[in-house]
Amino acid sequence: MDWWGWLILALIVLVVLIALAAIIQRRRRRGGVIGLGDPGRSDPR
Amino acid sequence: MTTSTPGLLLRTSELVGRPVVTLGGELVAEIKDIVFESTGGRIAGFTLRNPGLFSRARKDSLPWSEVHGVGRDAVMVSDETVLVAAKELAPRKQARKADVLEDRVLTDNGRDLGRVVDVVVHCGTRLEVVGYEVEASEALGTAGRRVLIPLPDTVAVSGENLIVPAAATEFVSEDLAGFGAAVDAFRARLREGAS
Repeated sequence: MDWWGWLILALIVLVVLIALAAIIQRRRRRGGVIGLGDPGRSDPR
Repeated sequence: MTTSTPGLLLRTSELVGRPVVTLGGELVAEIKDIVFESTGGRIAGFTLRNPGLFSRARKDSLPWSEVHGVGRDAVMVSDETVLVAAKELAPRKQARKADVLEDRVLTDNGRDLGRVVDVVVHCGTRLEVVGYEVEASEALGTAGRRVLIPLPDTVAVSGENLIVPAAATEFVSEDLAGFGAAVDAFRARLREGAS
């Protein structure tokens, strides 16, 4: 593969990684609403 | 514990990202998740993340008993020492399984009402979960639209489906304005049925 082939491959990998990071970050920032079935259960002691 | 906006209904998505600030004015964290007790629907507390776009989740959390006040723009605490270990509020494994967002809502007679996109809480002297906002299924006659479904005092949250009494479909609202009255009427109906 010529140097431009590697360049294009690297760019594709970069774009995929950025897209994945954006998706993960979006999910993390969305937050959640967590229902505890038994209030006492959350205490591990 | 005091709240500055008694009797207000709000969506939990409005709380996520709200800054946690000490009475001394120091920005401590941001709200990440809302943790509630399915028995009674009371908010048990909040998990936290550091402020900023690429912030990480924090290993401490804020129990509701230590919240000084919930305002329009911030959640107030006396100081940073009131935070407790996150696992004391909700162990991480349990938290992953018990997130109600994206879960399906089924009635106790087996009708699929839709997928949870948000949760409605009543902000009075305490925070209490009072309803789900769902992307409605065809069973509600408003497929694809977002509607509010009232919840009974005790909420079933285990598993991937959330079960509500079939009578809840008679008290569905399209906006928060009349939803408080719908919740009261729904719960009164359930009490009448139980007595």
